[in-house]
Amino acid sequence: MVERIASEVEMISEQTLRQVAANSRLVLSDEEVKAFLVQLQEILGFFESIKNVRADVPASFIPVSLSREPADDVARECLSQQEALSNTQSKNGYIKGPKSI
Amino acid sequence: MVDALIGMEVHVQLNTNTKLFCRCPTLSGIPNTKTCPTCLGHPGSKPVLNKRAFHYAIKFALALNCSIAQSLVFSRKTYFYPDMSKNYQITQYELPLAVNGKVVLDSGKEIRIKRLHIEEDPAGLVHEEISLVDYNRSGIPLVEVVSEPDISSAEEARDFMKKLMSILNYLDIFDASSGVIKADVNVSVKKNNFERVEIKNVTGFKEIERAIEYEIHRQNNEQVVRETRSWNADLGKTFSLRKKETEEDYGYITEPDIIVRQIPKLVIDKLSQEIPELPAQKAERWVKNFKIDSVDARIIASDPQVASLYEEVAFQCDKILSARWVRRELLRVLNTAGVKLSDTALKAYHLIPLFKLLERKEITDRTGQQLIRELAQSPFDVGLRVKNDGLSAVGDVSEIGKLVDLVLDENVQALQDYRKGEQKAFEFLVGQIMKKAKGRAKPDVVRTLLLEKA
Repeated sequence: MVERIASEVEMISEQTLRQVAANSRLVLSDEEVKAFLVQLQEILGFFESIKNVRADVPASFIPVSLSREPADDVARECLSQQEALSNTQSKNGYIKGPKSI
Repeated sequence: MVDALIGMEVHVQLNTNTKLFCRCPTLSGIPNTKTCPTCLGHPGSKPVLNKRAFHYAIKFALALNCSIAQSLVFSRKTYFYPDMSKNYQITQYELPLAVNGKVVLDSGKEIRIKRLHIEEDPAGLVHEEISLVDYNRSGIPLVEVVSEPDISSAEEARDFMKKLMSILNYLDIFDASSGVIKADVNVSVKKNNFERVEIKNVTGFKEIERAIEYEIHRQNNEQVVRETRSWNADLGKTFSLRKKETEEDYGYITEPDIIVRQIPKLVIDKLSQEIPELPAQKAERWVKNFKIDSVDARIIASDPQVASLYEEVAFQCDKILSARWVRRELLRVLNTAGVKLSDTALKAYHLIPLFKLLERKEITDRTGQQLIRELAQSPFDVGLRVKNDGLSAVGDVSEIGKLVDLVLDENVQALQDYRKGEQKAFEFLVGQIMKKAKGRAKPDVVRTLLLEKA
C-alpha cells in the first residue's frame, strides 16, 4: 500500500520535507528523512480519497457550526503566576525558552 | 524613477481593556500574571474575538480611506519561535480586513495603503543565554497597516508616520503613553536594482527615520542581498538578522477556531458615523472659512487637543491672530518644554483674554510671548496679571521719547551706522529701546519716534 502511494503520487519531495523541518527547527538525520518521507506520503495519500467525495457543496473552513459572538471588552480573572508557570521551567517569573538570537 | 522605494508595515497596538482573543487585561507588570489558557496557547483553549478591537480596526481602516472586506476571516501563520507558544500567530492573510486606502502627505503626495489587518501580538522576550518569555503581551490586539512602496525618503516616512499617529489620536484608539508603534521598513535602492531589504521592529519616529537614512546610504555603497535586518539604535546601524522566510514558509491556513463572519454594512455605516472630523478635513475647513494660513491650520489640526483649544479660542477671538499665536508661540513653548497640551492645565479661557489684549494691542507681542510661557507652566488670570504687574503696552509718546533719546545717547556708533544706511543698526536701536521699556513699549510708536529722532 505504502509503496504504491509513494511511487504513484509524488505529493511531497525530499526538498520540501527538509525545508518544513528546518522551518520547524527540527534536525533530521538522512535515515529519518527517508522514513518520514514515506510516512508523510502515506498520510497525504489518504487525502486522495477526498477526490471521490461530492464537490458540489460550499467550501467549509470551519468543521463545525460555531456561533460564538465577539466578546465585550471586559477583563476577567487571569491565572496566577504560579498557575501560568506550572509544568514549565521558569526563572524570575519568566518561562524559559530556547535561545533565539 | 526615484532613487529609493520604501514601504512601511506599521504595527499599532489598539487601546482596548482586554486582549484580542481572550479577556486577560492588556497590562504589563509582573511577568506572566496576565495570562489564561488561550493566550498561553494551551490545547483545547478557544479564541473569542474582542468586539471593541474589531470595531477600532474598522474605524482606522475607514479613516485611511480603505475598502472594508465583506467578511472577517482569520488565518494561522505558522512559525517556530519562543514568543508564540501555539507555534502560530492568529492574523489575517488571504482576506485582510481592509484594502486600497491612502494617506496624503503634507506635500500632497499620496501614499497608497495596500492592506490593513488585525493580528495578535506575540509574547515579550528577554534575551539571555536562553530566552525568557513573558506572555502578558501575548494576544494584545494589533492592527498592521501595510503601505505600497510609494515613500521615497526618510522625511516622507516620518510624515507618513505622523499622519497615522494624528488619525489614531483623533479616533482615540491608541494610547501613546502605554502603547507601542513599531514598523517593519522595506527599503530598496535603484543602484541595486531595487533588491528588497526588510528592517524589522523599528520603534519610534526618530528611529524609523534614522534606520531608513542609514539603510539607503548602506545600499548605495554595498552589494545588497534580499534579507531581513535589525536596527541597532545605539550603534545607528542595521545588521543582517536571518535569511528571510517566504510567505510560503509560514504555511498559512484559515483559522478553524474562529467563525468566518460577515461584516454587515450597517455596522460599517454606524462606525463611520462615529468617526470625528479628521485633521485634513479640519485644516481644509479652517483655511476656507477662517482664512487662516494653511501651514498653521495643518499643524494645529494635527493634534486633537490643540485643535479643540484653537476652535474654542477662535470662536471668541480673531481667528487669524489666534491661529498664529497657537501655532507659533504656544506650540513652540510646549515643544521646547517637551510636553503636550494635555500635560498642562492650560485651557481656552486662559488664552481668550490674552488674545483679546493682543488683538486690541493693549499688550505687546513680547509681553504676550512671556505670558504664554508662564501660562504653560501654571495658568493664571491674564487680565489680573497684566493689571497688577503693570504689563499694559506703553504708547505714551513723551515717555517713549525719553527712552529713545537715552538709547541714542548711549549708542552713538549704531546711530552713525544707521545714518550711513545700515538697516540692521536701526533694528538694533529698536531692540535697545524695547529692552529699556521691558518689552512694554508699543513697537509702532517706538519705530515712528526713532525715525523722527535718529
